[in-house]
Amino acid sequence: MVARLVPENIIVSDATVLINFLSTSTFQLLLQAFGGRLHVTDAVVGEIKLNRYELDAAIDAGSVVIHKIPIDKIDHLMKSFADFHLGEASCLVLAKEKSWKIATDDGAAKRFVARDLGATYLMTTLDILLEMVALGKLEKSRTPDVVTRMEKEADFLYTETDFKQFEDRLRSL
Amino acid sequence: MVQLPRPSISNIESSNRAVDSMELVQIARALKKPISFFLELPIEQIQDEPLTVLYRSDEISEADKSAVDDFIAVSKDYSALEKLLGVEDSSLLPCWTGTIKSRWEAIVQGEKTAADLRGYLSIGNAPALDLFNILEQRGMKVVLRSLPNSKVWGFSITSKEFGHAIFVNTQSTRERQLFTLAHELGHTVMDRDHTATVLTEKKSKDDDAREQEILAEVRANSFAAAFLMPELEVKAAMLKLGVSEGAQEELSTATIDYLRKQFGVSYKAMLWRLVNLKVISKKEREKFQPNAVDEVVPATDTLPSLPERYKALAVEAYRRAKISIGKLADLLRIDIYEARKLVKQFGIQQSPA
Repeated sequence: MVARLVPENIIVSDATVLINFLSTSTFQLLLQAFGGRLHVTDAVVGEIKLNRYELDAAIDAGSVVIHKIPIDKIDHLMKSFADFHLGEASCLVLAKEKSWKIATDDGAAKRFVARDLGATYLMTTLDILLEMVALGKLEKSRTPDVVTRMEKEADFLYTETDFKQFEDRLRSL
Repeated sequence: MVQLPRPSISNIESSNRAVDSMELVQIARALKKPISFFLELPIEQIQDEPLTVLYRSDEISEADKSAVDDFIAVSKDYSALEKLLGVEDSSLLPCWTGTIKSRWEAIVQGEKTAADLRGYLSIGNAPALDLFNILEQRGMKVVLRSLPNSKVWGFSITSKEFGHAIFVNTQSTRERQLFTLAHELGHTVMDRDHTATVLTEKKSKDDDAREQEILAEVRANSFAAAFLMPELEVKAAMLKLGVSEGAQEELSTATIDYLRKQFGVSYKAMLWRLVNLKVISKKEREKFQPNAVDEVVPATDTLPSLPERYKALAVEAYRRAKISIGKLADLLRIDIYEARKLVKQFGIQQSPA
């Protein structure tokens, strides 16, 4: 059997996840969780308007790598999947092209990833927090507080089912 | 503003240089357009589209064209949302078209069609103050926007792609807006092969327009008056004020002002309706010319407003995970932060992937 290569630490993030971490000053933790490097597209960077300081600093330091996606590639995706905006569409193009994992909390994007790339290519904010705990970058007891802050300060959106699964997995760590 | 060197912009305009996504975002923001607008077919490929017809209209100024673009974009997005959620209604209303050879025929046809459409919409003879919502519930796309310093009161389109859509300029009185909506509705249901029509301050006073166009305008005005002020209901309202048929001497400017408020029309429109219903004569009309009875203060809101049903469809599409949060923001003409806040306020949880 030939297993499809899924790189462990190469992540391309859309705005839904970035906003959660940038708004709660936990962005450095996010970087650490993925080996100090995160990939984003230029369109996603354009969507980030608030709390950009850490992002801009990370871009300057080379910790966040910006990929320019040619518009013709996004145009194709947006016409095929009219349910996406430029930011998400560019992320999906990059992840698909490079076989990288994609970090998103958006239901429509998750559905696309599950269908076109496979569930193993998907990471949500809650998955990332669990990864941080597993890597020892975030204390287990602090994690629910981070989620609460994301909810309050970044309007973090998650379903009750997602959160229940998150709590179960957190307990098992 | 777009942070691009002038030569780059020239090259983009002349199709000698591709646009990357970040630049596209900048351009879209600078021009206040959704991204999807730039991914549509080039203008030369959509010759038969209502957009082209509107663009070619002498009545649409350069300054108004951006509102036309936005109107078309909202109409297309609206239609796409309906399809996505499987609720596309044949928003195409029945067409009661007929040839008109005289002014009299135009008036009669307008009146008859107004009664027919009221029957079709099952709204009886009641005042249609809520016409915006009535039409929206029937799947018609009604877009309200402020066009400051414009002579355009409104325009309408009929497209195979997205059905009927009417634009109303909110920089006029509420009464004018309602009459504009009814007038364009008249064009929509009565003009043969209706594609696009524009109602302007100029057109309503322009006697040099082509004869057929004048008749179509007369017919649309007759329709609007009869639709907004049905004969039976006007006379019933008069009776409630103690003004019986044949006792016109009991009418006063105060009574007429009351009537026009009941039907949401201007004093002038109500006065003309009373003439056409033969409640008063043209000569009597002059004595009722108001001195102090003003129309309602012009609307001053300048915020873009999207149809309520359109907004509800967009949020529902997001809830069902049929569109992304970014797409929701794009459709509602807000940024992703505002979209997240909105979704949170509604307590919406997306369906599982």
